[in-house]
Amino acid sequence: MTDTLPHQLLEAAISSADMGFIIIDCNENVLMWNDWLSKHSKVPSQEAIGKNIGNIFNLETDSKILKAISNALTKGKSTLLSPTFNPHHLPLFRKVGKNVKMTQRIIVRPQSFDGQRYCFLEINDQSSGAEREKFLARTKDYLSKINDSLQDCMVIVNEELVICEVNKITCEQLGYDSSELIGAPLSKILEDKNDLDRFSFERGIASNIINIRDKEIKVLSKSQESLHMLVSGSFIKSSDGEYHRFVAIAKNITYRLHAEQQLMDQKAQLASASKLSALGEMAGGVAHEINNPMAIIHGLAYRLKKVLQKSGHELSEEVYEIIGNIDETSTRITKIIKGLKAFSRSGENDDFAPASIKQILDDTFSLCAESFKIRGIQLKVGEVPSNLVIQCRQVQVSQVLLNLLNNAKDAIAELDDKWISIQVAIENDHIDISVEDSGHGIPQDILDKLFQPFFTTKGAGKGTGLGLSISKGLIEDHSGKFFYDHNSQNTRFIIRLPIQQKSSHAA
Amino acid sequence: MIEVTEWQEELLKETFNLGVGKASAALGELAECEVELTVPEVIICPLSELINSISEKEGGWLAAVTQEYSGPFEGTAMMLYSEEASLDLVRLMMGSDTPSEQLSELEHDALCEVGNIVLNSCLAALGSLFEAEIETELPELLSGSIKEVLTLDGTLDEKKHVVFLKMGFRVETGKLQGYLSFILDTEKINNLMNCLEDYYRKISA
Repeated sequence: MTDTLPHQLLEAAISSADMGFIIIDCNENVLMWNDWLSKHSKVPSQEAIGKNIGNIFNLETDSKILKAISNALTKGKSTLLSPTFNPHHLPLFRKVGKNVKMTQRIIVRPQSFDGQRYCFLEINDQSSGAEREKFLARTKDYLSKINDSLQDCMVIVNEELVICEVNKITCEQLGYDSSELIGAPLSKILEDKNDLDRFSFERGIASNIINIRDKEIKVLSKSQESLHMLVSGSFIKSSDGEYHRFVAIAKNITYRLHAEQQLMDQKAQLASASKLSALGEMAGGVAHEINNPMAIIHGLAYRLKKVLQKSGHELSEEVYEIIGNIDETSTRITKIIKGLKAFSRSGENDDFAPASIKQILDDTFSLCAESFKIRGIQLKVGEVPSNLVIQCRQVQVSQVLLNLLNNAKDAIAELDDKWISIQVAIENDHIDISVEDSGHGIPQDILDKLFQPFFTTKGAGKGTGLGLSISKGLIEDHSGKFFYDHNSQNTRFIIRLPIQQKSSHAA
Repeated sequence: MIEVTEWQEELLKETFNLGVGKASAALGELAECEVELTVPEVIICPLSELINSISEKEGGWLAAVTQEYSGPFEGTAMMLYSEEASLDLVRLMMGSDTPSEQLSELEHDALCEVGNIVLNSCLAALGSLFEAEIETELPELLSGSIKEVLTLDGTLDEKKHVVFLKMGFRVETGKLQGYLSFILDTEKINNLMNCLEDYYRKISA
């Protein structure tokens, strides 16, 4: 082809090409300099031709372009100088008259001809492309920053309900990596597959529903945890109609729902607690009312015995036995009433007064001994010195003890071996009352929450979850400690009380 | 089957390390950070064997900067990375942290430029070892399956051999594993072996 192509035609083609073209000889002097270069370098070809390329552009000897030219001329290497790392290898300008630097892509190529090595330089103006890419990169960066700044989950799905995009929060909340979600069907994260319908494009477009607002759906995390989400979103369509998407923004309301549920539970528990307190008051009142007639029965039994003895009648042993029973039973009822009365008073306004530990224990046992007996629970009480007196609010200590005894009773109800043991130990300035039952201890996860208000393992309506937390508070009011004994094989609580209260507490 | 002795392998490894050493200096200048390139392993084997063994290790798609070269031995030189690693490479070099699934035009050129520098340096090192000139053409970016990339057009020429090198790339912010390969016809690989032989004789004389 070149045989028939006139030399001038070729030269004209190169001269008028819409790119820079330079031919350099083995001495790095310019042989060819096309019009494009004259226009963009402000150096006309007659000035450039014959001159050293480095001198024309005033290039540093170790500049990349001169190295590339020398590599081509001496070693036959081709080099690409992309605009990415250095966009301005040569001082070229975009528009004549305006000093806007041109972003250049330069190819440096060796060419052997007639036993000589030449070098071709092809220069392309990449300015608009570079600007476009910069703009695209900036837009992309901007959009991704917006996505990541959203504090709710964002999921974008296509017509096939395949996930196209998710933001950072979505990945965090669902525990997935974005690569595990993008390209996956939406059903992967929906707990109820019927919810897929909500995102149906056919339905959405057919019925002209372009938005959904505040729909509650359940989403599955990677660990198969069910999360409640409030979803709003819109169908979108690209301006050229090429694609449809559904953009969903979902707010995780799982914790809110949890909190609401907890609040409702607490309200219910508070209601039952106040009912209990009313019952306690009532019990106190009833006890008071029964106390007087009880005293009368007791007195009458005594009188009956005396009268019979005085009358001189020969009476059978049985009669005395019956009278003895009446006496005993009424004494027991009196004890129970005394305990009830003591217990039903809140005691919080009482002063700290010296009280006998033995007395407190006996009063408390009187309230529950019967129910232990019925359930076949053996109550073991260690030796308690009758002269052991501490300064306390008797009612409150009794309340804590009773609470522990009742808890123990419930805990071991189903065991074969049923016993509860109470031991009192005196240590320097304080005493330890330990309440241990035949249960096998409390699991760690429950222990963590044991003293939290409203925490209970008992069934609905059985426990308020307040017992231990209140007990702890009461003992701490005494400057004492109330705790679970981790070292015990069995379930064991310890009430530690100072023997003397600090002066401000004392009566 | 080409037998490669231990010293031939060592010599090639040393030569290529010299080449990538120069390239890493040039790349470091380009990216304005320290770049470290290493060639810890050289394999010479038939192309078909390489394709089989590497397909097992690097499933999926590769991106390759290829460059034709000619001289005492001619063929195609390639810098190969998995598609993902090639994106990472460009991003490490450009110091950008914008995630993207495909190369933009600028990144495409950047990858070509990086490949160009590495391959030119390696071929220059080989050239100076043999006191011969190895001319190179312009770099091109190819992507495809391992077989497609290594055979250039998808048809496997049983006569072709390959000098295959593992190449480690490390900058402050991360490191990547890629490969270099120089594909040669059987007769050309014999040229290479002869050149090595000559060199050995010369230095041991």
